[in-house]
Amino acid sequence: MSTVVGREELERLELLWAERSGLKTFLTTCDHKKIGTRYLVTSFVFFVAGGVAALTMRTQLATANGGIVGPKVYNELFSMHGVTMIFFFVTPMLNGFGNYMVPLQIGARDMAFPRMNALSYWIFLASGLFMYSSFLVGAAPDDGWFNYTPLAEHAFTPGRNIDFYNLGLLFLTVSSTVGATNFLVTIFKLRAPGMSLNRIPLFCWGIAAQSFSLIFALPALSAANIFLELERRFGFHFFDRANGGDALLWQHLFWIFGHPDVYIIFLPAVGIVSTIVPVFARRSMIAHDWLALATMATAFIGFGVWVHHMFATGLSNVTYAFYSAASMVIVIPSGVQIFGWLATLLKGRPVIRSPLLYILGFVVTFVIGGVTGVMFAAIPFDQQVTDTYFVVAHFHYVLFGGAVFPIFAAIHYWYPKLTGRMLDERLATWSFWTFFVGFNLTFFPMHVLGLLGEPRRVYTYHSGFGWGIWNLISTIGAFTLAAGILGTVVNVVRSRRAGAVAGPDPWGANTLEWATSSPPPEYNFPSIPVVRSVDPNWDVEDRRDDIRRLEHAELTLTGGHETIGTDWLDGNIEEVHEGPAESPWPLLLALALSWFFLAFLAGHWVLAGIGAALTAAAVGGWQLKEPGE
Amino acid sequence: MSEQLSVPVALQRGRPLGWWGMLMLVATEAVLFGSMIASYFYLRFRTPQWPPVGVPEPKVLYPVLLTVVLVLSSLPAAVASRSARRGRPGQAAWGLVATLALASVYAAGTSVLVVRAWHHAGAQRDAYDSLFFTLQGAHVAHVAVGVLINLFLVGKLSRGRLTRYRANGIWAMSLYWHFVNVLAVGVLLTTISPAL
Amino acid sequence: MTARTQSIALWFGLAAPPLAWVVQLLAGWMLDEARCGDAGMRWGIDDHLWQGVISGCAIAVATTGVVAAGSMLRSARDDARGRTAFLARTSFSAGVVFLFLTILTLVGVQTLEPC
Repeated sequence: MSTVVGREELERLELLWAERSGLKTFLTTCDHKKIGTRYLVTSFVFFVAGGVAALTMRTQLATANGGIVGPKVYNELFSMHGVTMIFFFVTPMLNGFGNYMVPLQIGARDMAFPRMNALSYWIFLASGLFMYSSFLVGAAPDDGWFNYTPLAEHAFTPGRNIDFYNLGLLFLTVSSTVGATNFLVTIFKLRAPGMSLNRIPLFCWGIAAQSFSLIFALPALSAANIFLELERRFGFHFFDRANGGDALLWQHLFWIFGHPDVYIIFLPAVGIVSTIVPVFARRSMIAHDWLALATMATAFIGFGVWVHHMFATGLSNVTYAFYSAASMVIVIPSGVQIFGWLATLLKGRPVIRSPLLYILGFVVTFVIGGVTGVMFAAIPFDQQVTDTYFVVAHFHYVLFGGAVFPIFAAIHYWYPKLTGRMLDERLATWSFWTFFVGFNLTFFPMHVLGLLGEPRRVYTYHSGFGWGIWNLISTIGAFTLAAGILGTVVNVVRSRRAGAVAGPDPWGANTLEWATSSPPPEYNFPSIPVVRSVDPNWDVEDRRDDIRRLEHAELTLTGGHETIGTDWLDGNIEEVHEGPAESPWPLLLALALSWFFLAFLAGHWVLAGIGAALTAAAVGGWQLKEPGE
Repeated sequence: MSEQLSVPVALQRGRPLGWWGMLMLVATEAVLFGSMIASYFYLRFRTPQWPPVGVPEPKVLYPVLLTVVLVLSSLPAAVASRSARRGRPGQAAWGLVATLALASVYAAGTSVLVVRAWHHAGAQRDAYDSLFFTLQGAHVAHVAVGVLINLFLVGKLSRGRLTRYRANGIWAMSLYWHFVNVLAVGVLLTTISPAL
Repeated sequence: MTARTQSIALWFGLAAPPLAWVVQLLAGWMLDEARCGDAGMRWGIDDHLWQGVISGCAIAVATTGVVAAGSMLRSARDDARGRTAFLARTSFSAGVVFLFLTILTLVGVQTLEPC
């Protein structure tokens, strides 16, 4: 650093933003980078847990008349596999990357609501533990991840299984809603000067689309969970025909959430794809504007297709027409995205490294899944294969392909930024191919099995259907896939010490997270960057201007824990926002809510009332310390 | 470019971040109630006898009166918000008090009606009753939370200054009250619809 | 066009076609639920007529939105950071897709029998 002024500014920033290591900081930090890392690690642990469930099921199904687990345990396994993967792995993992990268990519110093950020992590952890504690009492949810009535009603499932499901999801919803609010306000109000709407990075568009979807979709699920819990606990009626209810009401409410949920998963993941493709194609993303539009359009249209999950329930054809039309049209924006990526790769000079390998894997896998998906939009075909393994094959291709491949790409792409080290490319390449081959060996045979008639959610099958060989191949594939994942885990752990030093920008990338050190300092940027294009890190002069500004103490914001607020359209400076540093209240509030939900689950109403009071007290305590005090 | 980069002394402010956060909360709660109201009509279209046999038609007069009282609270809420932003703590506090007073009248009155209806026949009789009590209960709960928060804000103002942070909080709460009041009309129209 | 008209055209062009589709879907589905439900069957709803009305309104609003966004395509060149041109382009394209969707829905709804 050349000037005295610059050095003094840096010292001031270090002092203002420093967090000592230790238990107290661990429990009270509101730093988006630490919280993002926690999300990543915790989600991956849940991934492994869900994976163990999957391997158990595959072992059971490898041969006819399998005897590893009985039907009761099998039901819990596939239900918790689905719940874990969707609610406790893919979405939080993507939010982990969002948490870490969104403030960096928009040139901010933290999220809009740092304490809420910490809260959303603690509640995610608490609700995950809550859900898994069901195994300890032998009452894990066992009615599938979508928990249809009438089976989910008390008359048919009297145990606590479904109460864990309802309350666990209601609990998690608090975390997701808070997180979505945080992302939206951050992305629209905290961007760097000059970052107008059309210069927002595509990963941030993905997170924004996800967050809008969460805000509007989660309440439908919550309504369903609340209705079902009132029915199970207090004898209300919503879903039982005999008392004026309707079992399909659950399906409608669930899928009004459930379909947008796949876009909640998919859109940040393709945001990751859109981040990695230009970097490894060595050129700006072709049709950046169209991809931003496609992201938001997919999320929007995604709210109007949910009945396509109910094509076999005997509704009116006119009703089906609405959703069939939308299900076909939603392919258009997805197609635009795929052509955008392909065009960018073809017109660039692609450099094949492990992040790009996983992106290519995603393209192949997702397109296959997309093709079978469009087949479902044709109602006659859908009614033939509904509830068979064909469906299982389809959604694993789109979910695994559309989310897990991008997640692994992100791990390989952003690992240098988080740790300052590079992953081992050889091990990464071997792991990728094992992963890719394993994945296809596991799930491709399921298309065949579905067409041969094997139903979903069966804990075993008799020999003589011709299903045995395909199931065996699938199981071998599953263990191969696990090996590929293990390779990546080994790579991640080893490279922390053994990896090559990365430096600020090992990939020569175009977004702002690479304009600062690896890992970034607590305050992210010494001076808030000013942006003049959609690829700010490739604008070398602008990045030199950032350093010049530091040396003149401009936009360094050393008055406190500060970041810049701009208007949502043009990126003109509006004000300086002061944020909180460490705080114990997010953790305390999460604990109070845990008390409430546990008490409610156990049916101790007095204790639940105390939990509610503690929650109110924690909210009050949160407000005790105001900025500037 | 340069004139936009220096942070001006007198900052031109947009709405506070907390207000945008409240807007997101309002949006999500609106969809929650929308889902419950949609469920009401979904089941109604399927049930030839609605309310079911033996269930009386909903009362209209008292719920309408109480809703009017609640909706009126948007006025003092707006006054509180504007006064707070203009740096007038006394006016702001009175606006908060008037809002929570009107809201409390609504909450108390509606609770009395709901408890009476419960004693007559609880929510366990039929989906019609279940939806009625769930909708009313959820709405009163939202009003109650609003009253608690207003009390908290009044307490803060009486013990300390009207800081910008607190003014932003009052601004955000006025949005909450407008939402709760619009919702009240929606819930009212839904629950009295069989009598219309 | 004045700056104010331009602004209205831009936001209307962005919001109108998607919202028109949402209303078509929700109102049309509600109508069908009412028509086919055990209670609603007796209310004498003419499904094809009212679905036609709903879809017609949606198509009209969506078309207006597309035209409004289209009118901004040329005027939006003078924006230094390009965000107005971005909004005009994306609104127009999105509007065309939503307009197509409303028409496709009308075709499906009118050619199939309710219930």
